[in-house]
Amino acid sequence: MEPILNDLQIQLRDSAKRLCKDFGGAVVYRQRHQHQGVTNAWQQIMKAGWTGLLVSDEHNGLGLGLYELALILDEAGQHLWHEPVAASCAGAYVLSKTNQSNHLKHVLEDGVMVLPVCVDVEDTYNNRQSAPVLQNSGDHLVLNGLVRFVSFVNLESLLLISVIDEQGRHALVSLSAKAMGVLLTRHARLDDSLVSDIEFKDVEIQSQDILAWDDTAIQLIEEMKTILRVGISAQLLGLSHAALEMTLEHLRIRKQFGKPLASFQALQHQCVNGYLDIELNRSLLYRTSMAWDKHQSHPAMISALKARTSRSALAITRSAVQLHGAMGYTHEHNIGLYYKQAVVWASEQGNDVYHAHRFSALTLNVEPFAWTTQS
Amino acid sequence: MTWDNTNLFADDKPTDLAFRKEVRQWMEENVPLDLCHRPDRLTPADLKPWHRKLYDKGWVAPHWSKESGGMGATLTQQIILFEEMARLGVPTPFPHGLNFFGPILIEAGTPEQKAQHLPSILTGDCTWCQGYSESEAGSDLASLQTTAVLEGDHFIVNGHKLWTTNGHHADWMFALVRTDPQAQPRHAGITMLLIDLKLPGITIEPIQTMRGDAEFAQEHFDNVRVPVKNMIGKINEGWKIANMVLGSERFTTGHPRNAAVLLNRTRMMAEISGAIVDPIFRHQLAQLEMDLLAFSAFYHHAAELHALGKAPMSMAPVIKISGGEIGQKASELLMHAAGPLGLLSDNLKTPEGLVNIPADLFEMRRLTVGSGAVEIQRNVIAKRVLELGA
Repeated sequence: MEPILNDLQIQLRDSAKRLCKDFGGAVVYRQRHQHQGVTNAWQQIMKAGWTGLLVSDEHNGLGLGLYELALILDEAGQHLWHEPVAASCAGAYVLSKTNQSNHLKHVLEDGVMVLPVCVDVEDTYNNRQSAPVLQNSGDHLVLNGLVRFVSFVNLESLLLISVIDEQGRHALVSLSAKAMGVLLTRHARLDDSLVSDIEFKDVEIQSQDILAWDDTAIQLIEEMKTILRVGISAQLLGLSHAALEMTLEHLRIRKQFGKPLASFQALQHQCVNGYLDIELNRSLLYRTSMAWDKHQSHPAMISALKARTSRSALAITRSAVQLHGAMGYTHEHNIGLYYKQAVVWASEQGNDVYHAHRFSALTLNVEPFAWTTQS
Repeated sequence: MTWDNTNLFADDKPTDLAFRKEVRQWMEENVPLDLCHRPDRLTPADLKPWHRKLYDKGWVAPHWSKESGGMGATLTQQIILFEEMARLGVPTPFPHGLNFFGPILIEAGTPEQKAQHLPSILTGDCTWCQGYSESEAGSDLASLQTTAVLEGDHFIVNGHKLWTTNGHHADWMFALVRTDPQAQPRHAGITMLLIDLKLPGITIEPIQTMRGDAEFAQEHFDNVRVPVKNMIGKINEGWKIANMVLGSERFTTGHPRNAAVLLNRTRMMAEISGAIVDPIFRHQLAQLEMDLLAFSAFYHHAAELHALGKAPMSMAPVIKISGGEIGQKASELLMHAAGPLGLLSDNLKTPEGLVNIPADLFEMRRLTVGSGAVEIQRNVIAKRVLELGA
């Protein structure tokens, strides 16, 4: 079922559809390894003002909500578009909330990419990472630590880093990626995207670079994570939808045993199961975004959304590859790109198992039992 | 923040809030406590006084127009009435007359038929059952074989109806019968008749369910003479008429509250048995709670679209499949959570009142079979929505 949209939202979705079609798709995906840093697509995003989507009018943003961001990223996912729209929206949102008008101007007008760098210490699958530590060193503060696997970082990026100090206080720090003592190490991933390990070695932090402390910092970091989680869920939904459509078309055309594959009930029901997941997830995405925009959402809803969209995207693309037969297994056929992208996005911002655990912790008031074996 | 799975994504508009408040207050003052949270199956006779009370209040047929004696309520108001009854665990009146047959009668009945039947459906004085399924016509309903042959001003009905909910309690049946054995396609030879179950030639036998009680029945028709004036619409138009009124009844039979009640019972039994601290049990519970959340989102989204007249045809089968399968899995997890307590046949006394876990488990089996098996619903989606066909 289609989300319920007003005229402005329809316009926004249509322009997202156009942009994603022109600057995304399988051809662009296949050129990813040649394009690093600012791409044509990113310039279009800047021109459309989408990085300021969640920034209020008085800070020169579009003053829209998560609902509209979900609309755009649903389209992006359908076209395998992986530009960091959600990350930049989250970053710009926090810069506006902390009145960083200078930084915000660079982001909204000059195309500086602002990226959240938030280690989720509760995520069991995060490679045992912990947040970078802010320490006193003489008369100033320095940052030390390592954050791994951050997408899209380049030397021009502005980083918004979730840190703790030696007393365990939380803070949110802004830092240029080319500051002294910041070391970037890049890795290619299976979807031809790049991630960076960011090492902080005695990086000097000025007091004006600390955007928030304690509860304010915790809340802003949580809000950034929510935007990222909802954003990637929207991309997973769009991707699942496109992979299913492509598979349906294949089943209608491809004939075996003298009839179209579409006439076999076992194959029909596989597709219906994917369709059911997509229908429920689409409603979940838009109702959850709407609730967040109205300050009525529960944090468990965000985990449910990420868990379900991840799980279904994996199931749907797995089935899509299967139903394409041997062609599905080739490098040449595009259905494989959807599978790879699903594997990557399903893992980013917490996989379905982590989010199911988080959902439990947020909705049950009894702690789980830690199993032990007696020797 | 506390998690209330019975109220997910509910977002009443101010006018609806006022209505909900009014309903809640009246329900709290008027529901018969002896009918609330009953683990055993209730019969139409058990529900009659409650049905009458709702009728006197004017709330028994919220979805019927005012001219027909209903409330002319919006879909949201219908849902609110259902939710407020579910909140107190009081059953809603049986749907066969009010929800299944009533709307057909209003749409396709003659003035005489309406005058004869609408008032007693509203008051609950007459109990109706639906005579569709037969031994050779379940999922493939169009192959039904009970015949009706026109003889003067009567149809002579011969055959056998099966799986009729409340068939052994009902006064009247609205039935689909074959009036043209040669018709192609087969559903072109079907007519809808109203049959007084006290007519000579009818024998009715209740059928025990796996729960051990009689939910449905079978009826044999041996040269039963049904007056022609009891035909709904024209001869051989029964299929069209039966499919004329569909859709909004899914909003009560498919309400996510049905699964929420089972999941909350699962949580309670897991606290009693100790399963609540088991990480794997918690993971299973979380999966179902997340499914329920997504289903609730879909449900409210569908209700909003339905009210705007924009709900797609896929809505009904999606609600039927998802609601049914979540409820069914919830009843299985409930049995699992309860451990050895779940195996006891007698009702259990719990902090939330009497529960019967085997009854819940068995009752849920019918959710994916009755009124269109989920496999048939999947076929419908495959053909009509995904355009996968021969």
